[in-house]
Amino acid sequence: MNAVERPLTRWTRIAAIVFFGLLIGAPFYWLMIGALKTQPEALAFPPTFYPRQIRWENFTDAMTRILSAQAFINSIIFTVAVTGLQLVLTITTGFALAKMPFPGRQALFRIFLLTMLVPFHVVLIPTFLVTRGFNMIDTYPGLILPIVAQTAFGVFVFRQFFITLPDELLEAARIDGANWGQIFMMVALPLAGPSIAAYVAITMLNAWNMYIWPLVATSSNAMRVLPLSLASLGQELDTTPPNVGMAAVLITTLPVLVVFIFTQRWFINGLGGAVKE
Amino acid sequence: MSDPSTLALAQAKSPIRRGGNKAGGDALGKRQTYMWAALFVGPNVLLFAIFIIIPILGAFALSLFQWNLIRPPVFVGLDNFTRMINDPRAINSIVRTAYLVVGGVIPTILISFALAVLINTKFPGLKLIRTLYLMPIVISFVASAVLWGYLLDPRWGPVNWVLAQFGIPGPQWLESTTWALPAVTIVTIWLRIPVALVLYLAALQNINQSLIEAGQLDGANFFQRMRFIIWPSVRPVTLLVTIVTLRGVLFESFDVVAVMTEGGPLRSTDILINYIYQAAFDRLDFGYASALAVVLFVIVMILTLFVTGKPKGEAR
Repeated sequence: MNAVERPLTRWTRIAAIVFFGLLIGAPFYWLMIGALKTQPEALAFPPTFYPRQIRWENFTDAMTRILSAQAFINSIIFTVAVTGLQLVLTITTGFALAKMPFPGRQALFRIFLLTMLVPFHVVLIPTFLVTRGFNMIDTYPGLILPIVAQTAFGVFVFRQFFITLPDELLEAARIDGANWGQIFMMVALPLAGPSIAAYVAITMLNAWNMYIWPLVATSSNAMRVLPLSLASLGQELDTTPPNVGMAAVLITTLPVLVVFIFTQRWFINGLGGAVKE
Repeated sequence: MSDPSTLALAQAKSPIRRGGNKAGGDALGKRQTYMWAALFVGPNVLLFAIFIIIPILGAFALSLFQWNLIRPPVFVGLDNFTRMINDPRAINSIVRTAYLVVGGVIPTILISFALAVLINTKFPGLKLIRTLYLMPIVISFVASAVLWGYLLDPRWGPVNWVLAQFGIPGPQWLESTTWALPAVTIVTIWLRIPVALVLYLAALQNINQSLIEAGQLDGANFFQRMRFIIWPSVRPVTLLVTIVTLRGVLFESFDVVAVMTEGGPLRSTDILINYIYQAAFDRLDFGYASALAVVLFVIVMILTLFVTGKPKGEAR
């Protein structure tokens, strides 16, 4: 259809594409220049559209006044633990549901699917109460395990992937005398690379950005994750200079943004993967 | 962020395929297979039962009790639900939620569809530009709420500066009872566009190009092609986008509201999910908060059924 397009409409279209792209990306530009400005410049009206004077101390101020090394470490622990544990649980379950014959397999899969109808926010209160019942509020296990347990989506993704593997492939390994553990490790797992990448990308992103559960499951400062530190800033925007506030937002966003720019395909597969099939 | 589970749900309707029974049979032996299956499935099922199944059942049970964690829970039947009728804050929060859903979901669908059609082309540098469209995927709801708080600042924020260039006096946004909820809605739309866009782009790749060319030869202009050829052929994806966006708007907006406004000013952004959180964790009114959560769940289910039911009827 491009061949039929006249050059004028083609250029209008490209211009429109660029315009709307810049419009959607504009808040990120504002964030980047805002994080570099001095306080008087950040509060200037009319606003300046590039920093006249760069103040790098915004980042150190942000780390000491809003964020903390502890929050950073907690976010990393939370993200890595959730993603790693959930990956192990979902990929093994997905494989078993796809390839291993055992009684109740279909029923189990249906239960996993059904629970996806109930959004996490609806069961926030009972999840809190169960966690509290185990005396795990304000501990790492209490922060991590209830989120790790949200395996339904991953089980679905990996079951759908493994079911596409031809049985002959597994049988070949079986004839060589491999047991299920070996079949999984040697045959199935090496083929699952792209699914794993897409799943890990989405799960890490969600864990890194998660707010409501850490808010409910932790209470002490030592247990804070980055979104919690940031949120306290949002509620008192006026007491922190905006340039320092934006530096804090940038510090928490930049790691994922950089990863995203280089691994977009995985994110897109992870988000759109379920539709294709 | 996104709610990928809904993507899966939309598909889960397709019949469950059976497969892979052969590999387990004879040589490996049933017992060995069961042992490995237990090893592969067991830990997950245990954790899932404790932290997912029990809370789901508990959510409904709790709504029938009165409980503040300090005294033992008291069974009150449906009292929590009748209490809602006389609770102006509950009514208000449902109305505000309805506003957010209508004002957030419909524009997200229309805008991301239009943008997907627009950028579904090829030119050098497109990949770079497309990244701009997808960037809101990575920013957390909390971080974007803080960022938009700055963007919308009525004194020195760039949004009101841009409006001023067009001679429009910018509103007070988060400090105004009229404009705080629209502000939250705008942020939510900005955050929801990329996922919807990704889904629409995938759908557009699958459209039969000859259909569009035929329309072109018949003299249909760009907007006619969009309205009468492309829009109908991506309907299944519109359905999916609607459900994904609906859930995103209903639930993830909590982060935005909690950070930007805490439900204010004067409860103008006090959406249901915010009220549930405050009733439970500020007032320790766990039974009533659970009843509100049940209402929210019923609303989600009704809306989902409404959305998924309608196109089927239209398609005869």
